[in-house]
Amino acid sequence: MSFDEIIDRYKDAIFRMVYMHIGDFHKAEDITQEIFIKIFKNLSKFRGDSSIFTWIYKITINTISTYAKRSRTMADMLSVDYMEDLPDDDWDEEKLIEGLQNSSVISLIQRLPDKYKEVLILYYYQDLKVEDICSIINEPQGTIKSKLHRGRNMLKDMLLKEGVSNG
Amino acid sequence: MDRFDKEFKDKLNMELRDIRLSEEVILRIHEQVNKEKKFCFKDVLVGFLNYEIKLPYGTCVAAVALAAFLGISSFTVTDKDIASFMNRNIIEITEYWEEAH
Repeated sequence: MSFDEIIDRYKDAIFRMVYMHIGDFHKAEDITQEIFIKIFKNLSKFRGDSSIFTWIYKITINTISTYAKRSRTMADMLSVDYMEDLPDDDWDEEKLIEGLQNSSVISLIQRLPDKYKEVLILYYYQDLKVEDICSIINEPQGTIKSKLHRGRNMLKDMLLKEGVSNG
Repeated sequence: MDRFDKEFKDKLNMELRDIRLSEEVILRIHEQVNKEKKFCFKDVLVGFLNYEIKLPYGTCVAAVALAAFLGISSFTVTDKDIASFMNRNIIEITEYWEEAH
């Protein structure tokens, strides 16, 4: 695949991933540009050990993580996961769906801790399976499943607290 | 995926629909790529040295510079070289005149 084809195919997907992580449109544009330059510089070294989209998303996630680490505030570093592990069927589904209609899901994702954000974006937006997410983030399946579960619970908690009261 | 997941995914895709990378940024990417292409030879060399034969770029430059210096030194023309060249030609010319006359 040529570089121009990669831009055509992945430009919006990468930009949206960055935007969901960063939350700032102009910074997201700059980071997307940086990602494409990295892709261009490394394209000749891509040996096809993984699929091209796994390779591209790896570069994307690494670049976003580097930026996130640089700009992390003291408050972010001190934040703790406040969610307890609730089983999936403990949630009131009707209220969650109602909350979804009244909320901006992008802003909910943006408020999650980075480690959950990246997994949820790959799962919900890129529609990837857990195995694919493992190969992109380089973590075992158990860790990814746990992050997915906890991140999803955080989203549900926010939806119930804010989405329902907004509506 | 359960019902929540499906609804969440649909809502997310709907919100993201109008978020697109601007043409201006795409132009900037192409401009930067063109600039990078100008340095392509160096990148290829660095890539080859680092990834294929695991030799640092600086070491290679130093080795080439040393080889060039030694090569030039061995071809330096000294006064002695000029003197022997001239003497040889004088002898050849003298021999020619002696034969001709």
